[in-house]
Amino acid sequence: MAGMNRRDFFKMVGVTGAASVAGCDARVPAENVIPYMVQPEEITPGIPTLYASICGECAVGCGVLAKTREGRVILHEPNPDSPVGGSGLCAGGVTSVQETYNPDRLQGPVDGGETTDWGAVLGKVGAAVKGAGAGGVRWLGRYRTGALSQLIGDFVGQSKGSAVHWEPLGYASLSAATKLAFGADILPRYAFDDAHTIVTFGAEFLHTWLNPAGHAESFKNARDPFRGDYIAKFYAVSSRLGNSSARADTFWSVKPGSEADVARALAKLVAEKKGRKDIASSAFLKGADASAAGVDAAKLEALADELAAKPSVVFPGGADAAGANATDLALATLVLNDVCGNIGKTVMLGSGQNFGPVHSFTDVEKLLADCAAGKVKVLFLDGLDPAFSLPADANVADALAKVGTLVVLANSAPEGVPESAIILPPGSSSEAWGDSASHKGAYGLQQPAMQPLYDTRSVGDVLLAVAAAASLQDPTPAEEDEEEGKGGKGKAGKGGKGKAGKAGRRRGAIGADKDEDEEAPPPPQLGGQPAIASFAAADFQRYVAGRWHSKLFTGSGDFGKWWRECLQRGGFFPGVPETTPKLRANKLAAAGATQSISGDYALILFPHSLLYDGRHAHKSWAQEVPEPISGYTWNTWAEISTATAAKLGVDDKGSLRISSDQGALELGVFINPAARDDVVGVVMGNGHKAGNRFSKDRGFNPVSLIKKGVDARSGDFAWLGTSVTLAKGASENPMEQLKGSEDMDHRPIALESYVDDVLEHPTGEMSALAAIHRIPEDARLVEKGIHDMYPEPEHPTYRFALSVNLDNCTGCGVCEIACIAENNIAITGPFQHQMHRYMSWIRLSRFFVGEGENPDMRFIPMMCQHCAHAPCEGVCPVVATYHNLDGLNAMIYNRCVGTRYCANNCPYSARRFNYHTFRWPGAYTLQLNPAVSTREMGVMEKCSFCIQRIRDAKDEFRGETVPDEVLEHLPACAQACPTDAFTFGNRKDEKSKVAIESASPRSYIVLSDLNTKPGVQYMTKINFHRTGGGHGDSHGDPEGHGDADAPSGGDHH
Amino acid sequence: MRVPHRVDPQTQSSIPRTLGRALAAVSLLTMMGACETFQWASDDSDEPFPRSDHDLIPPDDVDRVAISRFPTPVDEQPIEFNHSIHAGAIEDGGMEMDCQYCHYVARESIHAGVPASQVCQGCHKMIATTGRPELVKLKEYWDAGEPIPWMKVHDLPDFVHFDHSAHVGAGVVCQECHGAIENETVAVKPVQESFLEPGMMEMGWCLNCHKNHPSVEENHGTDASLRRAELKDCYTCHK
Repeated sequence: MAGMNRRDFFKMVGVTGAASVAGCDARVPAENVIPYMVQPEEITPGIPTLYASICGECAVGCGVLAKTREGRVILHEPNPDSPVGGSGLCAGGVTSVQETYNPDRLQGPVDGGETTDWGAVLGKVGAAVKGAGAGGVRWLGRYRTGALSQLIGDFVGQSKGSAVHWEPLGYASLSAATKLAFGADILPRYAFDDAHTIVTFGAEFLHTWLNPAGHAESFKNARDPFRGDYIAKFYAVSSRLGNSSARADTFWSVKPGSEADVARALAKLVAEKKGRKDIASSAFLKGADASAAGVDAAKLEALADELAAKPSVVFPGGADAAGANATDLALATLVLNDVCGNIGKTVMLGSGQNFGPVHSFTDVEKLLADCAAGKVKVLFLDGLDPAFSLPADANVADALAKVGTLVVLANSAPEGVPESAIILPPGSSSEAWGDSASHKGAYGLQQPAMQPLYDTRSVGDVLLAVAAAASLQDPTPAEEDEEEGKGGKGKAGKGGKGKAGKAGRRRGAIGADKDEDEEAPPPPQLGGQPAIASFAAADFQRYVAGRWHSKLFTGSGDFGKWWRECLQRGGFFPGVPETTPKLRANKLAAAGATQSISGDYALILFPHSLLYDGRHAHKSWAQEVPEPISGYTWNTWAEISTATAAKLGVDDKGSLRISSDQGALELGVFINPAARDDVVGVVMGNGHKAGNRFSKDRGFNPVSLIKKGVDARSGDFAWLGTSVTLAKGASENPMEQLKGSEDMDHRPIALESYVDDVLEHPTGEMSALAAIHRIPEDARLVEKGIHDMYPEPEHPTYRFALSVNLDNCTGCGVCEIACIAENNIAITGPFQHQMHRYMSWIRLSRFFVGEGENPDMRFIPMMCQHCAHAPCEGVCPVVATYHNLDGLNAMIYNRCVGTRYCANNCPYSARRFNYHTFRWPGAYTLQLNPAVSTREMGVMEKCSFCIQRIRDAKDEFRGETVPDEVLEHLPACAQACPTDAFTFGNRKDEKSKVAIESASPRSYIVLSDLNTKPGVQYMTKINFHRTGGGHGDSHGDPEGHGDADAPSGGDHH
Repeated sequence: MRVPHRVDPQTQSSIPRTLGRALAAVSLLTMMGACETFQWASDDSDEPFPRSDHDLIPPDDVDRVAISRFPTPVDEQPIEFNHSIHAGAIEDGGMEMDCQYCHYVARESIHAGVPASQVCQGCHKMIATTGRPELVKLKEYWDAGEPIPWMKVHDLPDFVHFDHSAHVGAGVVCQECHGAIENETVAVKPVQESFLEPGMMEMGWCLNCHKNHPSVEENHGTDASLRRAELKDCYTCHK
């Protein structure tokens, strides 16, 4: 043994030990390598193939690029060629890939609890539809646009039934308000890049409301100091500081239910200032007074001045204001937008947001009543979970039980669905054809990125098959025109007439369009079948193509070529000139009375920024990533103010017992310093009784505390209106707040700058506007170059760096989810979370810095800072982590022996240790990225700046340096962020965006006095108020006078 | 046969450390004969957050044992594909087919890939199968619509990123790493005898070329030393 070194000795011991147990095959098992039978031309094994498609999680249909490896989708990236939804994705979009791999979803059709085959079950449904008679066929489903909306409309129309399109946190009140105000059957589309002032009355427009990804992009532009000479100021006026309001510069806390008063008062003031007497004296604005709401008159006047002077945007309320006067609030904001001159500039109606037909809860109630009365022979339930979303007194389960044939179009049975139901799983949007018509001029095209994993059929295909089985006839042109005339929502405008024509539908039809006096040309062929938007279409792909041919294809050339271009691009985006309908002042009836909620505490149900209304609860990523404000996961919590907590004697280790006249819940507590004392908030999203392993029986459904109610003007569901009593709960809070330190403790972590300083000093010395701890340096040492014991290491070609813009960060958590999706990060679950063993490489920390009107909530995404002088590197006994030539802190998993000294040393707490070998259940293993390894127990991991993507980029640009445009959004977080808060690049290149940002006055290093020389720098949040003195809390020092109290080593207070 | 529990330093404190290590090594070496089978930790559990503490679950009476990380030797393939007939020199009775005729993915991708069945059928559709059982098997796979389940011979660990196209592009000939495979018959991988043997695709052996291969000078000229430094960077190959 002499002369053998330690490594060889252990190897020998290892292999001989193994050899002696070799008889039982203790080695890694031999693997297969399976070739194709016939290799598809566009797939090269090992190289990802991207398909342009749309996200199917909501009706917007943001463009996505589905990244596939060897025929399976592994990631959804934003599609830069699609103008729908901005250049990033919302939380729904980044989690959408988990819909395909849901380990518990149905793998084929089910009838009466038994698996069945499609032929039989579609025949059965078709027969039921055929025999249903007038009014017997109903549709209750989520919002649909484009081809599917047309197909549903034609289907129910031709079977003499009707459809109700509704979502629990839907837009019926906004739709009603838009109709009242402008006579337009559309939803407003908020594209507010040019707004100088942003006002919200509670809508979570940056997270889940209407078109969050699109709003986030506008927000980014509105806050960009280099885009104009201003930064948009953001006001939130609501009864609860929600996720989007948390980002506001000024927060006016108002009594719940009184938002409409404030909006009306504001509208009246602005109308008067702008000389719009007809509006100011309308019945709607009469008597508008904000004082009861608790808003200072002088401040309201000042805001009105701001709104009158420059373009702005005003958002209505969300669930927190969805009470008895939700429509009044929405109407007031539309009037306000109009008098401010925003229509056509920041609020679009000509190219309004198209979600198809928008019905109200009253329509749902009527339908449920018909079901309960036995009038509904066939009910199609499309993508909704009404028994979960609605309170017990809506009697959903009873109604569903009395339906003749209940056909559920969902990937698993929703709550309250009787055993006898037929469940037809549609699969995911990655496995099916479709389209979206999100607004005029922007039409997204959905194509499958993989073969369906199971025996599923999309909703469109099911409808076509059932229509055939029920022998439904296509609507005649006259009927079709009538349908189109009724609003045409979901149909992409009438551009098709007189041009290529509705070929295939019009041939020989009676009452043919008078514009066409010759026979329409035959429909184009797609894969040997005609592309026609009719029941005769071979499948939904041909239906969509046929509709696009008749409505969007304006050329006379080769349709196939145009279709392929649309497929590659992800849609067809011709744009459309904006129109500005006139506000109908004379139609604005008097507003309703202010809603007042009696009792001590008003209950506010609010959407979870990741689970939304519960539709994402079955996706493990949405549950695992902490909700950004509370930091809680996997459960439901109640939010109360500091005073309420003190009064009741609860803290966040305990629970709160909430009782209403409908029921009681005991929930873990979250104390929000910005919460009102007369309000208790309960998050929606969990509490499913039916769901998969991640959603079933997890958390509590707050709907059990309320009863049904409506906003009379629109029939929209009233979420607000319940009062509750509170008491200290007996149980412990099972959740932990996974968001880092509670406060910054005078450490320069999430800093801010004052807006005037930022605008006056757009360039200057780095960190001039950030209150970092400035360590005095001795000029003599600096001169000799010996002031720093740790010289900058050599980076010959690249110094990869990240610049994070805290002003853009809205605390949405999309970066975390994108990172988890790209890097095979494990889901640990609620029990591991109790021990803070949470694997996400990015920690979205949240600090409450201010209070009152300036809550100044700061979100800072924290990941490995890739320090050039890293505290973690020197302490690794096996050199598993080191600083590489490109500036990354490299972590080599297979070398790590798990001493955890590196994590101990990291001042940013950026490292994550695998205390177990976490695994992925069922089909989730198919989502794993083959370019990244999965880590085993005993191994440390952390952000790698997506080294696999860097490696691929360097391979692509072999022999050159990777250009900055490619690097800018290279890591998964930078690519997915909807507000573009991350800029990646090569800091050695002085012209790169990251170098410019990192050298700017707003840019600073977190904990800079530790001299870690990180590759990640942060740009300060921009505040509209000057905070007082104090280190780490005050704004920076643009004049360079120096901070007299700057600590030199110790922290002086 | 029992594996002794780890030597407790306190009870053995009187024994010098090197001797203690030798004792441990010897006791491992004396394990002979049949033993309990190790199983893989299951990930099909119903538990929503499956995790395991060992990749392989040892039988109850076995303590943590150092286990070889190398793949099980491959003794046979589903079809005895003979490289020397296809790729061998003409004077040896081969057809001198180019490696990349079948392994076409190698020039584009990280994988070298095995050819799609369609590629085999390009010739073998017209070749008689009578009296040739391996060709009969080939036909049967094609007729059944089943891909041939080849056993992977060169299997690098999952945490290694090896890019074929980079090496093919740099002018590294297939035989440099894979040996004179055109002279071999059925591709199999024997039991790994030594970590130190060249050509066994060990990391040290890969680094040898990354440090010394002349193609770096040829391709990069004045930047060669920088390129060599980059090739030695762990992140180049470890993912």
